[in-house]
Amino acid sequence: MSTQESLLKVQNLHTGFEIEGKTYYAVKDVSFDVKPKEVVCVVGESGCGKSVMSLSIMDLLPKHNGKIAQGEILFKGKDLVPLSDNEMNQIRGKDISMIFQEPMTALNPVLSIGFQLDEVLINHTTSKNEEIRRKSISLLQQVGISRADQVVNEYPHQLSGGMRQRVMIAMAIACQPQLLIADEPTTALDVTVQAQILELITKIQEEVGMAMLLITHDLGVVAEMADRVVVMYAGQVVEYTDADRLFYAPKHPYTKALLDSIPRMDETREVLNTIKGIVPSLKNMPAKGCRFVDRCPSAMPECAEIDPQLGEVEKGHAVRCILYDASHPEKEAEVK
Amino acid sequence: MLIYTLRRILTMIPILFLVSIVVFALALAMPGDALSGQINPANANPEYIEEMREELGLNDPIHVQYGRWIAGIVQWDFGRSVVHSRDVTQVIGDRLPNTILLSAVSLIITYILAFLMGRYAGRNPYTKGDYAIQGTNYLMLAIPSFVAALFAIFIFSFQLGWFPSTGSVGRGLEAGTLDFWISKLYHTFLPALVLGALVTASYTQFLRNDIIESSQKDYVRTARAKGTSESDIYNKHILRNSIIPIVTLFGFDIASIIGGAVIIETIFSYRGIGELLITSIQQRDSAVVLAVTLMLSVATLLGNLLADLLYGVIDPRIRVE
Repeated sequence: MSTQESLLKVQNLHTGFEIEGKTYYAVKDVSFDVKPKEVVCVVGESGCGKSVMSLSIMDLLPKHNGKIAQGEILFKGKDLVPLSDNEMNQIRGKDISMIFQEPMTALNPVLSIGFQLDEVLINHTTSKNEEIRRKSISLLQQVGISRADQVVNEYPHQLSGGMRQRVMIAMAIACQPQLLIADEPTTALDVTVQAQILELITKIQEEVGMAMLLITHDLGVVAEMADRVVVMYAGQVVEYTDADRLFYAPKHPYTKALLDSIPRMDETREVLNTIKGIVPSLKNMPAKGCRFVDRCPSAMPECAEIDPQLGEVEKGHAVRCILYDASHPEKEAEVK
Repeated sequence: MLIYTLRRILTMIPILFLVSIVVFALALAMPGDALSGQINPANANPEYIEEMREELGLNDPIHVQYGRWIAGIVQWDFGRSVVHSRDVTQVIGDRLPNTILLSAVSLIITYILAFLMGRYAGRNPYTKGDYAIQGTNYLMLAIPSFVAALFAIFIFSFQLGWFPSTGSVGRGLEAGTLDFWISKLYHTFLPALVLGALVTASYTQFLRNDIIESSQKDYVRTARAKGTSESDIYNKHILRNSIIPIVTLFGFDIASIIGGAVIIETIFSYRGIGELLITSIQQRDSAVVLAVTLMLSVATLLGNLLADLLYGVIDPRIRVE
């Protein structure tokens, strides 16, 4: 996994929020990479820092209190963290683009679809107005909107959630980016529409030949789409491997618990398995030890004492749990 | 849109009818009439005064008086001013252009100031500039307009001598010439500024708060994700949304500006409708009082209608097909 072949390489990322004068880390020490044309899924419960991590990459954190405190985000070998707003504007929407969770609020209610779609092209190309409008219409057709030439003149409130998400996708792919970040793109949609949107995203991802960072909490989606998977818990990466090994040989107790809570066709169960408890909130994060300890079925007394490290258990499979020597800060050296 | 407008205008008719009853009742509730206190009983025969009352119809039953009044209005006859001995339409017609000019200049100043200050404060919240603007706002909101007017006259007219302190136009100028209009604008500026202070403050505050709120919205994040520059985000995405609440206020402003003009015009001896209203009330010239009050009510209704129509232009979600 050398830098050259990674399109995006996140290293040691810490993103903090300032609340009442103190900094709390929503993302703590996250590292992973995305290769060209690859689909990497980030999974975890709500409140795990998945969205904050993806907003960090785009430099879209809330300006008044969110901040990348430490770490590097290398895109094609160039660190994005120190870039100014203007420099990021050259990259956002062109090389990296993003689809958000909430299509209902992600579009400006008082501007027409055409205006909002044209904007990406105006920002990043030098084409003439009529040419841009033609391109916008063809983009709408590409994302499966049938009345594209009418829809450009319509406003967001005239479209359904699924249509709006299609518009968002059209915006995201307008400049044929190399990386698409999709932050739970189907969560707010009807189940029937979810499948269509995912299918569309996959199709376009293959057509355009872009890499994708897909944030989701739906393991079904992961199974279908992912090449590799990053499992996050409480702001940290707890397991990082390829999709096959994640499903057939999960290592971290959290991953196992997540997989266990999927209902299965071949079993009759009265009650679904759940992971008891909730993700600790930013303010209640344990100061030391494993962050999953309170909810972990295999917790040991020392789990609350020792900070587990993300260690490579086997090639291409990293875990953060002291059940594995590679994660144990003292035993790690012996493994090597 | 046309049908909607027509329907709105039609619904104004019953409202106006109710307003006319209230206005008429209030005018009748004023103690005395045009003849009381004006004529020295020692010089005039009380019987003659009583005869005049009878002749003017002031002794008729209320519903008859009201009926006569409303029947006149429908024919664009607002009665005669007892004090001015002229038709009310003429008396008002003399003053109306001045008040319209004052209100228009005041609104223009208000919009320019509020837009500049609100936009600056909204884009740079919690900075020194923002605090300075907010401080000014609270001052403008807190100082009653008659006090502000006196201060403005003292500072800008007496101390600095920049603007005239009274009147609506310079002496000896021929109406219609360029000099005449320049003099008019010059006389209007200071009262207009004071008149607009209150509205400016509330607009600025509204705009600032809405810009701050809108800048956290999801669609702003989407615009950033497209690589849109910060100035485009504020000027195209946020401002379009933040103007909406201000337009809603427009309807109320028409009323509040004309209401404010009553006080301001009196202080500046500015010959407008407001000054006319005050003197007419003092002299119990009820035909003028009634006509002016009714006119203000119509202006408020029209202002609201205009605001509703503008609303649809700006916000496509409530656009009427």
